[in-house]
Amino acid sequence: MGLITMLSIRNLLRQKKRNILLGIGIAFGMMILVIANSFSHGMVDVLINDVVSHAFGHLVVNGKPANSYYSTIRDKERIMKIIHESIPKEEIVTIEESLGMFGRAIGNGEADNVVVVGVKPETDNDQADFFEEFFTLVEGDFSNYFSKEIEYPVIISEEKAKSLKVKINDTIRVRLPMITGQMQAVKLTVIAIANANNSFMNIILFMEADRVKKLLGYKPWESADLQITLKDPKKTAKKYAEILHSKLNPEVISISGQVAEEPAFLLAFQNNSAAKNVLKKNLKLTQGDLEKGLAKKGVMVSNILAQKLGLQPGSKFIYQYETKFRGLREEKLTVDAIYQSHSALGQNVVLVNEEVIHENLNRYLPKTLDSTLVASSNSLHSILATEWKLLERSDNVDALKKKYKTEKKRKSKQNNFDLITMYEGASQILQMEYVLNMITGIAVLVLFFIILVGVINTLRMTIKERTREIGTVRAIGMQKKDVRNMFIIETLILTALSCIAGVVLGMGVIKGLSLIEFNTTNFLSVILKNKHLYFKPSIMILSSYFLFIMMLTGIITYFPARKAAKLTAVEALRHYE
Amino acid sequence: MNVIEITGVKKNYPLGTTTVHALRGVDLQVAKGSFLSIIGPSGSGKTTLLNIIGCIDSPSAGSAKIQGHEITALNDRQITDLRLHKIGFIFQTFNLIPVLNVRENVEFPLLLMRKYSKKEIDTRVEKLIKGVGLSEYIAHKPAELSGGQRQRVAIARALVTNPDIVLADEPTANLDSETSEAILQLMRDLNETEKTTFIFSTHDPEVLKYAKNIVKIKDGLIVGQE
Repeated sequence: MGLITMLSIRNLLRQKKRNILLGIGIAFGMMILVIANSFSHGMVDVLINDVVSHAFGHLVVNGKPANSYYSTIRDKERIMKIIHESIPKEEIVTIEESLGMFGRAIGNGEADNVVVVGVKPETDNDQADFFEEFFTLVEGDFSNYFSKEIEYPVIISEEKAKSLKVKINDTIRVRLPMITGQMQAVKLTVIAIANANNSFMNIILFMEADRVKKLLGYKPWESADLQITLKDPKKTAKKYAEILHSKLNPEVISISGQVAEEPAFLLAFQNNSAAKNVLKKNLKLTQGDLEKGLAKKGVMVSNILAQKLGLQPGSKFIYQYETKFRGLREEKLTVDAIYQSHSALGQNVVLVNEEVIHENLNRYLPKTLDSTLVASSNSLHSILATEWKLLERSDNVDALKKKYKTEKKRKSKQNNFDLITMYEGASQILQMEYVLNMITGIAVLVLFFIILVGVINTLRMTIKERTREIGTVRAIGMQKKDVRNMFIIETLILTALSCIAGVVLGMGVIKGLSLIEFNTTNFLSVILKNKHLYFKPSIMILSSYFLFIMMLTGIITYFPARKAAKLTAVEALRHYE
Repeated sequence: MNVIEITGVKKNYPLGTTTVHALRGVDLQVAKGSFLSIIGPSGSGKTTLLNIIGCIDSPSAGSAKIQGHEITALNDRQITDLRLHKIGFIFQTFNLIPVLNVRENVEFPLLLMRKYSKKEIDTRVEKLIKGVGLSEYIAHKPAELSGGQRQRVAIARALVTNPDIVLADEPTANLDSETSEAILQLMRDLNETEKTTFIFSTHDPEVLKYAKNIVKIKDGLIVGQE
């Protein structure tokens, strides 16, 4: 150990009472900081990993049919493939369908609003853990959740059971809108009364996911919103959102099929004037009405195909194509115009306005979209309609709302696809993180103030008391910088030890507080994890606070220490208290 | 050969609105190996002269050469270095570092020099502590020592760097007569054996009998030399 450090330590031990008091102040501040930071970090963890991930997902793929309130992804398999291509397997915790519908429930003479949500464990083996993680059973039996003998078994919260005046095995009538927009009334059987561990879930009636899916009218290959729970959402949500968004790019509508056994392509052009103007330049009308052919319900056929099949304007014909899940699809069309073209459109092509095909395309899903006829390098590729419209990414909830408002005005049967991160979907919940960070920030400021006042005051007294000593060591031959460093090291050691003591104390308090069980179902339970306060100390943040405090101490000590070091030996030796 | 050459040194202190003329033109040469006593009444300028010789104060006017170095031409770092290597101090109030024990107080200047090995330091420190008769108190803190013992520690500390000059400002003022005599005898013995130049201030006539040379100072002027 160097001479200066040794002197600093000895001097520190010399004024025990004063230094202990200052040390307690710093340690107390650090303790508050550790608790506040760990609580804030833990709460954010609960919000993001429990509340947000269960209620919204960290990433949500939303596929919305035109003019529909409910999300429907028509080809779940394809979107799942895109998700897996975009996000590494190890970064994904779960991908779940967001199966939930608001409805009006009638119990025993009482009515209330409810949300019916479909959930299921990942595997059959997870059942016990699954129920234990989410619920505290009050009455009933969770095993009936999967019972085949009960048509629609549900778990209901104690609070909801009370408001609907229902008990175990009672039925609840619920009117729910299906994805088709039709309303349907169903009878749900209460198999368990259980409180969800997070109070925001208490409005929900939980039902097995496949049953809810069927109830709401989803086909087996369809899906509701896909909620992706990520392993490290704060770090990766935005990054994977960008990647996934780029891969959700739709293909152009180019369906290979046949008309009366003659192989052909059905191409859909965009229903806008720019696309129509391009077509006017590229197509030469041979028969019929070009304006009609370009209109919203317009169907045009190339003259080559028309000649082969003997089609004329007004002729009805059937375009057949293989679908992914429903076998052969027959599209009944009527010719509005016959054209000649030297481009790819001049081959066996049926050219339709996108609005003719969107609805059935979404419902029947062609087996493949074959863009070989008009490749992406072809200038006509840009006028072809796409299978869905991929909405631009929005940065925040306001941008998201604005985007949806604009989309609502769009009069098209084309589906929308959107990718939402928790930062837009659950921004209000995430705002709590800012509030918590602010609280921690205030704790940091208080601590800094304690350090600032305490250190400066203590140092002033110390320097005053030791002025003659400064004179002695300067006279003997200690350089100015060594005198200055002696005081700085002394304060830094005190601060470091106090901070460490504060961290240890803080950890102790955290441990103690974590043991307290809160049996509450009010809003506060949102911040609880398994009925306990949840603390998650961030070593990185605490280390940075520690370094910052040390730096601050160094800076605030530097000036009085330098002033002390600047005293000449004779001035210092003449000093009498 | 002179280790100290003071020529026309004046020292003025501002005191409120007036100026105190502590030294008013002092000329002094001190040869190597001297055992010189500066005597004079309180306020005569003894301490100021010692401070200038010890390079812990600078003259307002005149020239002060210590071992040939003109101190007014040196910066703070150089002067500090000069004090560490060439000058030892013995203070009237001992000025030991209270948090260090006897050994640590004595070795303190050597550690500041940062050029000796631990073994060299230990050898020198133990020899000096033995020389001043404090071997059995080597681990004691200053607060556990008597006045005389503390001053012995101060003497050992002043001599540990093997300085050319040792300055002692009224070294016996806070000691009883028996201890004073022992301390002065010790200084005198070291002067004889180590050939170290000792300059000490006093206004105690009893102390003078140990001095080889005497400089009398009054009102900031040297009024006599013997």
